[in-house]
Amino acid sequence: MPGRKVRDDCGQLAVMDALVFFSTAMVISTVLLSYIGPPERGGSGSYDCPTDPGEVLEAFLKASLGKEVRIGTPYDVLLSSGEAVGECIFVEAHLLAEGASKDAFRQLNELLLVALTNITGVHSGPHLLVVAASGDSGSPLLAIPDVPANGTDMVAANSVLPGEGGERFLAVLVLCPAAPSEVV
Amino acid sequence: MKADESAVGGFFEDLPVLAFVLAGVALLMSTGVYVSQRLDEARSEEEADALAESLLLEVLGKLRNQESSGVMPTVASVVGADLAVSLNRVTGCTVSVVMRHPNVEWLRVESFGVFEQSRTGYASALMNAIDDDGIVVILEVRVVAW
Repeated sequence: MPGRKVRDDCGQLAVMDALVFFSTAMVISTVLLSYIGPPERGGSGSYDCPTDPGEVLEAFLKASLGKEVRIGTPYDVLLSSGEAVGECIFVEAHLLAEGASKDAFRQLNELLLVALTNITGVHSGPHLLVVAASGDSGSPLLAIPDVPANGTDMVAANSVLPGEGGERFLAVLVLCPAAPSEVV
Repeated sequence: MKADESAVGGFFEDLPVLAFVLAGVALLMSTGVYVSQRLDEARSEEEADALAESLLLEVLGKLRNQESSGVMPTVASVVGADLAVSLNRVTGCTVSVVMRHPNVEWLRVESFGVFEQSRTGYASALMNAIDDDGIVVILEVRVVAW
């Protein structure tokens, strides 16, 4: 009878073998692609700002204030533009440890925050914390602008503040890069 | 010629087998090509970044020693430093100096060599310098190398 085809079970086995081969090829391809990861879009780092907190903190503490700043009542002191940032922060930490009000240093703290943002970039979310080196107190003496929330992408560095006397304070710079979705 | 119907049937049964095998081979080959290209790009990027880092160290050494070793350089000496002697021997790079504190200001942009269409590397570092008023400023030195 013309056109009649003979059913062959060996042919079906061959199809199964080919399916197994194709599945294995897919698994191997998936493993290779997962090894190299997804392609990076726009680069992994920001070319806008330095991201090494140790380098930023070292340069920042050695720099001058850059403009005159007044410390409010009851001290009423005018800091000149040439004062070193590290020494100013030391003095502030010392007075805060003795019970001074944070309101007296509002202008200084705002200047420090603007300076840090200029250096690290808007999207790095800089936070400057100062703690007593003895580590007795639970919370930082000073937090500009505030204590950062817990996050997984934070990087930090610390440095002992230059100052006279037996007191020692530790400055900690924390950078909290904004997530790509938060970057406008 | 005598027609062999079982052979014709076998041919049509073999077509899906052939299709799956060819698809599997094509998948493996294309994945291999893509992965090798990505690894090659990543290696080129790392080489370019390493070149930029080494050039940055050279530039920083030159800028920081303008006055004398151990003395903080001035902004004027950083802007006027002659980098051509050190950098003209490389393929190409661009050096820029940006003031980050107390103001944000571009101080210097200089290119060396001829720009080529290739992968670029980037490195930057901060340094302190003294301006004309005696204020210690923060400068960012950036190097883009290719």
